Amino acid sequence: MKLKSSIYIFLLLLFVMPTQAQNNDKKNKNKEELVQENKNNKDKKASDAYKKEKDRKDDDGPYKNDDGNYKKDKVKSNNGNGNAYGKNKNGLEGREFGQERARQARLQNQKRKLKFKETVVIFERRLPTLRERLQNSRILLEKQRPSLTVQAYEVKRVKLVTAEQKMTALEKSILIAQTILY
Amino acid sequence: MKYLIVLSFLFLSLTSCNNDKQKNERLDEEEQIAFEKTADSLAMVNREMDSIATTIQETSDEIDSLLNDIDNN
Repeated sequence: MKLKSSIYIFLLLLFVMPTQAQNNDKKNKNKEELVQENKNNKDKKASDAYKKEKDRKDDDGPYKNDDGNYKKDKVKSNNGNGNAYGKNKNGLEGREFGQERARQARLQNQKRKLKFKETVVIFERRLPTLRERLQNSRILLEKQRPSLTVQAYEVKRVKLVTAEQKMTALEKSILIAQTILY
Repeated sequence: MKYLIVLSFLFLSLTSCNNDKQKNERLDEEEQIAFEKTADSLAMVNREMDSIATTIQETSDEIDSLLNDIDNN
C-alpha cells in the first residue's frame, strides 16, 4: 500500500515538475524578450542609421564620384533589405546571417582601412607643401601690399586668414586619422 | 502501472529535449545579435574613416583654391 502510494506521488511529481519548470522557463523567456525588445528599440535607431549610411555609400566607398564631386547622392545598395537584429534574412538562418554580415563588415573594413591609409599618407606628404605655400602667400601679400588697394588687400588678407584656419583644421583631421590608423 | 512509468519517463525526456531546443535557439539568437553588433561597430568605423577622408580632401582643396585666389591677381 505504502509502495503504491509513493509510486503515485512520484508519478504525480514527475508530471508536475517539468510543467512547472517549463512555465518558469517561459516566464523567464518572456522577461528576456521584453528586455530584448527594449534593447532592440534602442538598437533599431543605430541600425537605421547604419542602413541609411549603407544606402548613402556604395560598396567601394571613398570618396569621389566619377564626375569628381564628393559623394552626397543616395545610392540604394541593399535593395531595401533591413538589418534588424535577430531576424532571418536572405534565406540564411539568424546566426548564419549575423556571421555573414560580420564577415562582410570585416572585409569591407579592411578594404576601407587600406584606402583610408592611402588617402592619409598622400595628404600627410602634401601638408608641408601646403604650409610652405601658405607662408609664401603671406610674404607675397605683404610685398604686394603697396601696389594693392586697401579693399583688395583686405579681401586677400581675409582669404589668407581663412586658409590658415583651414590649415589648422586639416592638421587636426590628419592627426585624428593617424590616431585611427596607428 | 509499468506503462505509466514508461510514459512519464517519455514525457520527461520530451520536455527536456524541448527545453534544450529552446535554449539552443536563444543562444543562436544571442550569437547572431553579437555578430550583427560587431558588423554595426565596424560599419561605424568605416563611416568615420570615410567622413575624415572626405573632410581632409575637401579642406585641402579649399586651401588650394584660397591660396590660388591670393596668389593670382
